[in-house]
Amino acid sequence: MKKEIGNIEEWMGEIPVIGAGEDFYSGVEARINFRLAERQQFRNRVKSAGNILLIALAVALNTITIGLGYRYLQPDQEESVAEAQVLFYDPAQQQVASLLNQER
Amino acid sequence: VTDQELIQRLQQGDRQAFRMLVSAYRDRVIRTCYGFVRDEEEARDLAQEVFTEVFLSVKHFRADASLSTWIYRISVNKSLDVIKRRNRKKRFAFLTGTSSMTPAEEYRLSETAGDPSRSLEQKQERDNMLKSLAKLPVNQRIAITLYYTDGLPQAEIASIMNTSVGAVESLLHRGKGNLRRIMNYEL
Repeated sequence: MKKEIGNIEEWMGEIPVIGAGEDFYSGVEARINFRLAERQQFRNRVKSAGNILLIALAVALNTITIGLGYRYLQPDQEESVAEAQVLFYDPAQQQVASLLNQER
Repeated sequence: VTDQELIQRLQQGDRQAFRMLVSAYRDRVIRTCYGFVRDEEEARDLAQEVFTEVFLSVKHFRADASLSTWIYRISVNKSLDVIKRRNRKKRFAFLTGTSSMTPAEEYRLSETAGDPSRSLEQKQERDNMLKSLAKLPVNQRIAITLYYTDGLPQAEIASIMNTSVGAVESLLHRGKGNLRRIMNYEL
């Protein structure tokens, strides 16, 4: 026997009365507040990760600068040392100066 | 309050306007979600998710479609997500050798939903049709559900599905044909 779907309107439209009282709205509000808090937390995390990345980048640049300074400066290049003192960032300047002194 | 005013107030984060929107659309959204998931608790839960999404993304709403169409679209997408999750669970259950139906589905099929005087045969037919509906391609399923459960006109369905009225008509026609084929094949 072939099945017919003649009753599709009746079957599909057969929706029970689904009650949703005042707690429905408070449920929605609770979800919204939760999602907003989650978003804020995510933003804070991204912000602190960004800060850490910036610090790491600064440290890396500083290290490279020190390394290059050490590699290319000759002990007898007094002028270069003076230049380096102007160019280099404070902690590096200290380190480069002490390294040059040691070499000398 | 017109839709335009409501949207403007919602975009300014007006909670009073949001409450108005929820009470205006609540029953329609629950009904649409139920049409897809066929579970009262899940439909209510989904409807809350829909309104949460509406509140959080109304800032980006550009009024290309009407507010109701946009809300229907969110409802359909959320419902389809639930169905996808359910199918994943089913596949997992199949692989682990347990029932191929989720507990909620088993409960739904075993309960005597609707008219208590309805014969067992009629109930079986109805369940068979609803199970077959789940096997239709997604677009056909959306069109059939919105048309028969929500009683939406084809033009509105076309707008929700971002397609033409002719395409909806064809989806409904092919959907019914496929439904008939699946039901007969599974007899």
